[in-house]
Amino acid sequence: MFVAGRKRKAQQVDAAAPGSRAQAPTGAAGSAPAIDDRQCARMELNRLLQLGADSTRERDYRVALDHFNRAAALAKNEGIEDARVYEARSRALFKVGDVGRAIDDAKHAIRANPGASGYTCLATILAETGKVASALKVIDDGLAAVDEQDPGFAYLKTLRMSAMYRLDPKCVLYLNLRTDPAMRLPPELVALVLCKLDVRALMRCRMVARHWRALIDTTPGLWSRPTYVSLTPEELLRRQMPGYEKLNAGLFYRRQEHRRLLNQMPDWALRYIFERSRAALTVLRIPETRPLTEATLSALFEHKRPRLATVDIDRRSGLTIPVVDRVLRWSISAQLAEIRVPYETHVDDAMVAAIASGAPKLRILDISGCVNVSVKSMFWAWNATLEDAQGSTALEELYLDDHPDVLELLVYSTRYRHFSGLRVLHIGTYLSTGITSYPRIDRLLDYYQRIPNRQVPFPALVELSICGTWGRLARWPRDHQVAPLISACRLLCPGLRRLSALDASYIGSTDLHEALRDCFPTLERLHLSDCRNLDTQMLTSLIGAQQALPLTSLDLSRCLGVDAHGLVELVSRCRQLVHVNLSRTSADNTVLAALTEAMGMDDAAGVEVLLLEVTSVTGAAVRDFAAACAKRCHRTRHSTHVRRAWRLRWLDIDNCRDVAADAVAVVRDLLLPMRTCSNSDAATEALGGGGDSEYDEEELYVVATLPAGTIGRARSAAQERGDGGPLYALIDMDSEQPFLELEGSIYQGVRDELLGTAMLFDISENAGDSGDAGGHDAGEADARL
Amino acid sequence: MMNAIQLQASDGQLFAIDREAAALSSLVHNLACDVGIDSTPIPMPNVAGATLAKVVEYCTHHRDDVRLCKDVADLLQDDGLVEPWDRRFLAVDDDTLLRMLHAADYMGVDALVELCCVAIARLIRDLPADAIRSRFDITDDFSALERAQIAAEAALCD
Repeated sequence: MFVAGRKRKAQQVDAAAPGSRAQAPTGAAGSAPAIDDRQCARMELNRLLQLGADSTRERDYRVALDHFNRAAALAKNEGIEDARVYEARSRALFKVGDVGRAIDDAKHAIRANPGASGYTCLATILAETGKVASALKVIDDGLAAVDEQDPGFAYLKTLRMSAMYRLDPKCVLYLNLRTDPAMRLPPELVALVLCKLDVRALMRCRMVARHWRALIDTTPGLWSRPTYVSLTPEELLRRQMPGYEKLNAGLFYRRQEHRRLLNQMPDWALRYIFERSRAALTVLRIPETRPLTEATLSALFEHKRPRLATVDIDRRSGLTIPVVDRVLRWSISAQLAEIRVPYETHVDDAMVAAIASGAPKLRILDISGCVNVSVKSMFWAWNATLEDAQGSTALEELYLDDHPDVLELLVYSTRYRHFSGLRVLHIGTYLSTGITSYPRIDRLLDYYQRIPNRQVPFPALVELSICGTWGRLARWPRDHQVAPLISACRLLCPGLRRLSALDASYIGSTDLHEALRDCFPTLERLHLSDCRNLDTQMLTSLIGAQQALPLTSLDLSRCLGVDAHGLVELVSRCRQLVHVNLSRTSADNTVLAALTEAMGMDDAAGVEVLLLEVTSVTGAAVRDFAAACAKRCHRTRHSTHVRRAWRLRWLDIDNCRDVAADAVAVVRDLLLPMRTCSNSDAATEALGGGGDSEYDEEELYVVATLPAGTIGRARSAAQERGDGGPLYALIDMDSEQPFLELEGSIYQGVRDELLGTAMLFDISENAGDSGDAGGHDAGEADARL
Repeated sequence: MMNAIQLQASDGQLFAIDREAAALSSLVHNLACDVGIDSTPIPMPNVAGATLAKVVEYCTHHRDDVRLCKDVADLLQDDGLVEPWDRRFLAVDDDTLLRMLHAADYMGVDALVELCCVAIARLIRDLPADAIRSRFDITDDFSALERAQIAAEAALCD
């Protein structure tokens, strides 16, 4: 399916772009990738318009207006006459109630570029403020001035009939209106409809009539961003619960290892996207797919893509070595800001050198697991691009997970400033098979000792992921210095916001205290699992006199050294907590009570994901918590101050001995209106049997592998309760991509042969099912492992 | 009803909608919050009575829904998680559907806009071009040359 995002305003804004782009110097398509100031300004303008359009979509018109004002100021300074800016600002002004200025802007837009959308904008404002006669005049002017090929022309005609009808309701014309959506709907709504069609359907629609073709071709949002996402359960969960992936990074990783290559992206779809998007292509993201054919590649290479800024090749994309090489070499240009080629083992030093010299604006580089790239040559490569040996490169985000040389990166960085601008650094170690021990540790330590005046390597660091590096990398006896070395490099600097250090078992308590001391007051995300040397005393000394900590995401799973008192101390000072994982800790009722108390406060953010696996909480405490959540959900929904609806998304009380099945039932009832995913042994049994113990851990988030008969039982349970709420739904069973909705989570039916999992859906048609809407609301699902 | 807001359609019909349901429509919600209209009906000059009745029906049915956050709404947009009630609600003729989409957009009922878009997309989705033409009464205005060109482009997809 095609995920193009709800860019209604954006598409409309972009729809006007070809006109304005035609005024731009065509030299951009020339061979030299040089970029002048004017082009820069234009890109900035587009960015502001995009931001504004996003805010408009959120119906946050004041913010949108702010963006459009900045865009207008920029356009004025640079002498760019762009009708889109005034048109967009006009709509925003109208929405905030400033009709006078809205009309002025609309008129300005028409002067700048007499297109149908400008006239439509002005006429709509006039008509909605009651000046129908003047609106009609504007429309007539528009119909005279606008070319018939303009995609908005048909709508302008409809608008004219509508205005005539307003003036004289006896006008029969309106009643005989055709139902052609392209004529009846304003372009931004048509764009919304088009977003929901796949490439094949779009192709058919182009063949309908001229104005349909014009509409589809001028909505570049459909083609220019091939963010063709394959929706696997992980993907869905990740998008549903921001941050959840990080919370369970280790688990997710293991599971992905098992995942077979799924042929999600048809070749022709990619080919058509490449064909249509032409110079507008900004993002090249090749998802897991079957190997690309030569025709597709030639469609990709055929056009110049001057706006290409992101290259992201999925590690399971199935591209062969020469093809990846070709794509990379072809795409390297001064415009490129982001390259992601994780686990491409043939990306070597020469390629990195080419990237460093060819893409000076590169901000994001992901070469996780590219074991043939040596860190030393990275330093050389970027050194060659620097004029000043002490300067730093433009690189802001570096992903070097599962790379054998991560320690060298740290040590060199204490001496050279090449990467001191980094804001995000990932040097996690997930695949312990790849790196079993670190052979050069002694020499590296030697070298480290001899570095004169060592510096903080990454002073601007905001996000750091060292999952597994403190634990897995240091597990072999002779590498016991690894953990102290990481701490000695002072990676964790003040100002760090997000720290992920899952599996941090081998770090000593003094090192840990040293490391955490500086950054603790600013941390927003702290993931520190398996940390055996973290104890209550250290935690309290770290908290110190801080009254409020900005933590939003906290994971202290399996840190058994901290007692319940310490956890209460920590939790009660974090008002902004959203994700909490305290599985296998000493968390007890007092901790849960502190969280429950925070639920009642309006200034607290409210926990959305709470994992309390294998803890000593009792059923009564969990029930109190659920009741507080239900109350909060009710309150936030009816409050006018809260912009975003709050709900508890995930509650995990698996294997809590003191939570009985009846308590779980009560909790489920309390959480049902929020469609919370809750997990517990007892609950799974209530749903129709627990999972296979071997997969227990992973079933935390892949509920789609439920045993046979579960759905039928869940359905009858819902009926017995008589609440009639949709516990589950099966969607699009007739297509190749069936969906299963279960308690608020959506899963796509996939066939995973490696695990031997098959989802069989036995559809029984509902009599009340209307054929054209598609989908089936009732069915017997049969998923077997 | 104590907590009701009156809406007046373009043809003068009056509809009562309670505050919770009205909160689904950002236009009505903002008007009711900012201006503080109590008993005077809010005029909806662009929405006809029959259409407004449908929108009010939708809002009233969905007033207790958990509002999905943006991420989830994005997820659902493609294949539109259509509940049984919604499906029955959408079983209307094309003209009503288009009017409803218009009205929902004007009144800022995002969920209904999404729903209508999905419904229209589903009408179009599986039809070949000539079936779309006959269904919506569109005339084929391509020249022979253009038709050949488009057919060549469409062949890319096979």
